[in-house]
Amino acid sequence: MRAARDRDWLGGLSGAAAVLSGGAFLTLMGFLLIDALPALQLDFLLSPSTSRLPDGTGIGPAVVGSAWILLIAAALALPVGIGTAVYLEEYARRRRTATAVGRALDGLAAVPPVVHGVVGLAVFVRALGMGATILAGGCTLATLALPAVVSTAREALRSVSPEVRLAAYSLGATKWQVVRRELLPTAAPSLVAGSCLTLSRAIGEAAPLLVLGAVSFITFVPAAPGDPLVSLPTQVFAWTTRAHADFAALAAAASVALLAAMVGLRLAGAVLGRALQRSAR
Amino acid sequence: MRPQVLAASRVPGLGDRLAGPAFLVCALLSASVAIVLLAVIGVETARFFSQVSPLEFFARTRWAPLAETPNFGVLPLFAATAQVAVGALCIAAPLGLLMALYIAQYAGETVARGLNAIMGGLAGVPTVILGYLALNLVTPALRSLWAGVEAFNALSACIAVAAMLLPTVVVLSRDALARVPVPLMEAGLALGAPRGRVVLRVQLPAAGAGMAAAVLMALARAVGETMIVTLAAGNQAQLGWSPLEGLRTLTAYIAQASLGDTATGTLQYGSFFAVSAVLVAVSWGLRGLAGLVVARASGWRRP
Amino acid sequence: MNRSASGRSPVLVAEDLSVSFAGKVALEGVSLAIPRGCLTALIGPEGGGKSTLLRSFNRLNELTPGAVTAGIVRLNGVDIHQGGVDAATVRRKVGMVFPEATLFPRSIFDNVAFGLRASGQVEELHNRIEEALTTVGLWSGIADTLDARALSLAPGDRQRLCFARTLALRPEVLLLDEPTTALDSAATARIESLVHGLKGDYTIVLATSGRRQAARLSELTAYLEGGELVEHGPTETIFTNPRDARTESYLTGRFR
Repeated sequence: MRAARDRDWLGGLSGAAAVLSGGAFLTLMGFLLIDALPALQLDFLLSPSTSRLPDGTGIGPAVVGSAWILLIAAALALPVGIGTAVYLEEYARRRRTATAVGRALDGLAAVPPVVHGVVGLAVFVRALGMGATILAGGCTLATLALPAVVSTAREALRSVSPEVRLAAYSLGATKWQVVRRELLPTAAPSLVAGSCLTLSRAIGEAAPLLVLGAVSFITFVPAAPGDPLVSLPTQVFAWTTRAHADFAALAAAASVALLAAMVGLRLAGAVLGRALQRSAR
Repeated sequence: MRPQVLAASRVPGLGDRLAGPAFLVCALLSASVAIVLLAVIGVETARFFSQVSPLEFFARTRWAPLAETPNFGVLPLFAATAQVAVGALCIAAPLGLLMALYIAQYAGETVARGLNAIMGGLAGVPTVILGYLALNLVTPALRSLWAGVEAFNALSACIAVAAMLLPTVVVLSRDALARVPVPLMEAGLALGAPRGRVVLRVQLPAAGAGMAAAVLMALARAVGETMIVTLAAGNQAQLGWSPLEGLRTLTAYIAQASLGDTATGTLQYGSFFAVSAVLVAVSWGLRGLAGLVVARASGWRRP
Repeated sequence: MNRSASGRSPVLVAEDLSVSFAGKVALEGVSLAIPRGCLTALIGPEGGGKSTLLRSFNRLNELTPGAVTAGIVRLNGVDIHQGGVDAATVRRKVGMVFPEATLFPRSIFDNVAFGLRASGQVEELHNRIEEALTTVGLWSGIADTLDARALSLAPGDRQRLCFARTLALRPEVLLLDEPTTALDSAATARIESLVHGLKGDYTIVLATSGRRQAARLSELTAYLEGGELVEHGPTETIFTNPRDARTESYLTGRFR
């Protein structure tokens, strides 16, 4: 349905829109990189403190904080999310239960990230007494990522051909055997890739962590989930709000580091997924 | 009769017995996250409204939670949210719909793949980074064009939010266009109609509902966007319609006011939940509308 | 019930069996007995209920969300839906081959071993696999390449591997759901001769849209249309002297 030579005014107009959008994206990224260059140095990446002065400050604590948050969110959201997907795709005998759970997750997916922060503040920070810690941040991002984890996992499970599933059952396999020997191994590559994509989106979220009470100036690298909440996206925010031009470079450099971490996570997921696929064959 | 003949031939393993209940527990946990979230917002909002009359909240036009006599008229925040969301959509919708059309109809395979990759990349950019770019790239550019542009202004936020919405519009409407049956298009082309006309008369009407839904979904995302407006649009909670001035949206109020230190039980704390309730209601409403549009259109096509 | 003494007593019996999917009726009030050691063909137009009836015999329908089954299915006299009956055990006794070769994306060996491993019968794994592959006539060709990917086999061989996978469990009944629709004529002939050889050792129910295939292979034929069992009886009678006008028009109207 595609004919490159068959052009007309609509093709020209839509092509212009495509060029404009593509160009805008490249401009944005280029600008970010140029802004970041003066600050992108090894000291900056490794510095153990984020001080109030532009000199000698760095993103060491923020990087470690985001890594902690990622681990906690993954440890909570992946098992529950993938388990939910397996239940919905394979175990839900009563359609009413499945529909209700599906509706609840659809509703959750539509909740803006900042609202997750408000509820996280009430539940994790205050009611459960975690305080504005990395743990509270990880828990909040887990609830934020959950609906997306479930929907990518359902998608991955659905990619297993229904005929192969039925064949396994017809050979006398139990439900758990089908899930463990067929469904999960066959879906594993897309499960891994999808989960990494979802998590990479989650660690880019600043709004919920900001609402929880993320700190932007800290003089030590967090070593435990109970340490104060620091993260890359909130660090970008904090430096962006400072008027001084030196801070703009710091914000840009932290942005580049955040983007690199997100892209790295996605790539790792894709590579791991492909490796799993190859080893399965 | 002898049912034992067909009883399980071996003792079911631990996995067989535990897996079902374990997966059910996961599903119930997931559902309870949504329920708890809703309950917390509901309870706190109700407590807020026991102290602030809903009439004041929805009808007054002054938002000053920390004033000596606090005012909680949500309209300025709501108007600001609407202004940014609609403004961003005015940029993202035409651009995104055209781009989807280009990908679906005109672009060669390589170009289409490149454009899809760019949209994937843009979708992955955290909004706090788009906020940085709005403040440090878009706003200076606007100020060099118009002298009247303030340091914090709605237009810059609109442009950055549009960048955030673009992938949503492009991907959803591209899929809607791709769902139009090829024979339907070929029938038009076989009659000798030029491609542009077939696209306008056949493909766009057939994909119309899907594209409308794409725009509504994008609008729902725009309403909930926080970081861009917090960074680029400032914090003036006033009713005003100039895109060159600053404003404060529902989300920006929460992000700026709650830095984790608002005491539980205060009016300001309660206002976060009331504003969250408004955000959730609007977001659900818009998404529901999108679902309705698609459902009605597909019902009409398949009687 | 003694297997040799019972002669042509029914192995499978459907009593007033109705199946619907999300409210849509697929099978209505079917009563049919499948005698031991016979090949019973289910024929009829597409959507007539052949596949659904077949899947009722090994409780496969219940895996489709929204499926509702009413009526009784007995295997050797035991109601397979009653409490205490294990669906996996039923499915091991009542094996099934599907229209398309639905192999697992693993080695040939793993495919044939799947059912045995699932039921924990791993002591004589190699012997049972050799036996099954010999029965379907694949052993001599692939004995040395059991570790090769199953999907690398030719389409006809893949379907024979599916037979072997099912036979390795030593089922009593074989349900064959259009086993040759996806194959060319040469592969079809090989599958048919395989099925012919299995007759007698197994009770076979063959759902087919090939009227001549049914005539060639079966002793008994049942004609289903619109979810109803229109008539059933000895294949010769059904094909030469059908009682019902619907059967006749199906068999003559488009009989090649």
